[in-house]
Amino acid sequence: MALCLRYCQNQEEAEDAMMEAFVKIYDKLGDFRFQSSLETWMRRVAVNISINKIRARKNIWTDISDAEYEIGYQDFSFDQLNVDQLLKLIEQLPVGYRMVFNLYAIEGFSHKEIADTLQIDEGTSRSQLAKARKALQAMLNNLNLGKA
Amino acid sequence: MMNENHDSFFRDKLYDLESPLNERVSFEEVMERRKKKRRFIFWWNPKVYVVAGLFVVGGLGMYLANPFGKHQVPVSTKDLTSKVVSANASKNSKSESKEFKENLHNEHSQELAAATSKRIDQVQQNHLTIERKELSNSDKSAQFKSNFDGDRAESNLGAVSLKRKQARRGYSLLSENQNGIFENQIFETSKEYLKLSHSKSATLEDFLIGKSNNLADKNYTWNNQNEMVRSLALNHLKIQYPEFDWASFNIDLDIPDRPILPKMPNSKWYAELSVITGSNNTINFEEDVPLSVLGTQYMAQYQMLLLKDLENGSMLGAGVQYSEWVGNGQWQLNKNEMIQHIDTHMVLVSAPWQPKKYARFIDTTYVPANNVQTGNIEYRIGKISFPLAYRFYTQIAKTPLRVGFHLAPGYTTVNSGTYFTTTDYRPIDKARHMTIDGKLSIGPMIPVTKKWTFVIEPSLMYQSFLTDNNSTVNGKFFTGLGIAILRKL
Repeated sequence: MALCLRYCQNQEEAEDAMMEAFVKIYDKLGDFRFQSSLETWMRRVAVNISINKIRARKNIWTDISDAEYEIGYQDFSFDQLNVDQLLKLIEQLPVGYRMVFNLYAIEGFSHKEIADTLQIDEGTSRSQLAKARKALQAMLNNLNLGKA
Repeated sequence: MMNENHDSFFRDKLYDLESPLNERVSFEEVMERRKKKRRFIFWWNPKVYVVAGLFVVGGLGMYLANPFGKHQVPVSTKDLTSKVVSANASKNSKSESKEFKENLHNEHSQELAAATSKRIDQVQQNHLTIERKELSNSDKSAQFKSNFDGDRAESNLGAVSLKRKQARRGYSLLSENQNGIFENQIFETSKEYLKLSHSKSATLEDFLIGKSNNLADKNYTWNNQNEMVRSLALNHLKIQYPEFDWASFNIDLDIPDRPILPKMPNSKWYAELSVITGSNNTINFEEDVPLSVLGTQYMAQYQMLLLKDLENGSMLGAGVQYSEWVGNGQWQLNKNEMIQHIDTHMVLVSAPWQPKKYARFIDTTYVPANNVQTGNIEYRIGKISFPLAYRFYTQIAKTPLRVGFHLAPGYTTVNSGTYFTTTDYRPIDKARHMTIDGKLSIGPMIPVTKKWTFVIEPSLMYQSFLTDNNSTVNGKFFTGLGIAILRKL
């Protein structure tokens, strides 16, 4: 559920995606070829379903100007952030950033795999990831400023 | 490296994270969805309709194209009528025998032959006097001809003509003492006669006896083909015809064993299968609007029609078609806005006899920026439609041309993605939508055989689907090329 929640916009959409994923898993279980662990395969199915839902909903590739995030970089201590805050940060990312960041940073996909999955160029994946990181840093910076 | 550290931090925290579920999420709900999904596939899969349509059209076509194969309607004798009676001498039988070669159902012909033979014996034994007429003084050969209208006469399928040739095999159905006595005779059959011949021979004999006895009161005349025709309408003329000797009646009902195959009239029905593709391209963004979209949209359409020839150079018909409509594009959003620019820097504050301190300065400015956002976009629509089609046939410079038009209401079976126009885009919801299609085409016809015709059709097509409770029409025009195969049924 948390996996779907990281990709989808809200709780309801994530629940829908999760149930669709289970339907698909149930139907396609016979096609599982044991080339990976069952958990990995199920995660992959859930990720694909979530991505498809996002794709069907709206445009995902945004190219926000770098000027918006041109702020000084500082080394933050993430340890003070709890899981809910981390999820909140990811949820605030633009959809395209969020998908690439999730796939690369959390799921551990390579840029080639992301490009194949999302049907984009590898360069696009790299740039979206870089911008996602910048955006996260900017949000963390603001968070830190708010605390100060 | 720092980025990787941050990524691993997120991964450690979130990879195996469990999140509480809502009450509506349950195994039962998953199973329910699975059932719905299966039902959806069964009932609304377009392939089911296409296959069913193919079976229906194919079956109908086979039936109409070959109604006298396994579906043969036997030619019942109950409706057979004989309307022409004529006789001539047998000398010309050989030369004229060819024109008498007609198909006759074996069963009926044999029954008829047997019944006629019995009748002749009966006539001879009982010394019946039948009205006889001498057609000429010469010794010309006798001719027997009888036409039968088939069962399908009511449906304009044509009459079955039956002619019988004279004896050529050196024997006769008559006894020896009758051979060599050739006179012009009249033989008449009727509906009742044949009906009886088909049922009971005993009844036939009784009927013939009675019929023969009544013949003396009948009048005859000739038509323009020198055939003698009985006409009740001429009774009042009281024409007296010369008599002839019925005992000299000689006939050979040597019928070939061939089935009766009523001639089929030209069918007015045609089956048409066609495939057509089209595209609609937008290659440049519109720079004057904030949002513009470019892209390529393709469509493919598979159509089956049953057409009826209206016999005025046009056809009207209906059928079923499946269309696929796919779009791939890119959107661009131009925004001129003021961007907040934040500069922060640390300043060392150093005062005498005071510890050094750092102060953070934040400098905020707004700069104008042209913010351009782009993104990819795609959609896919599949739909089943039921076209009402009109075809008009003409000719230009000896080239047969066909002008086609159809209007097809239907519904979507597949719709996903984000539909776009040149200045807008919006997601397509999953609900089933009404659709309206149209097509106008004109192209040359290439006859392949008597029944098969090939048509090439450059076309202008309109594809649309309705949204917002059928209040908004999302439509596009496509240009394309199609091919059609027309078969006469």
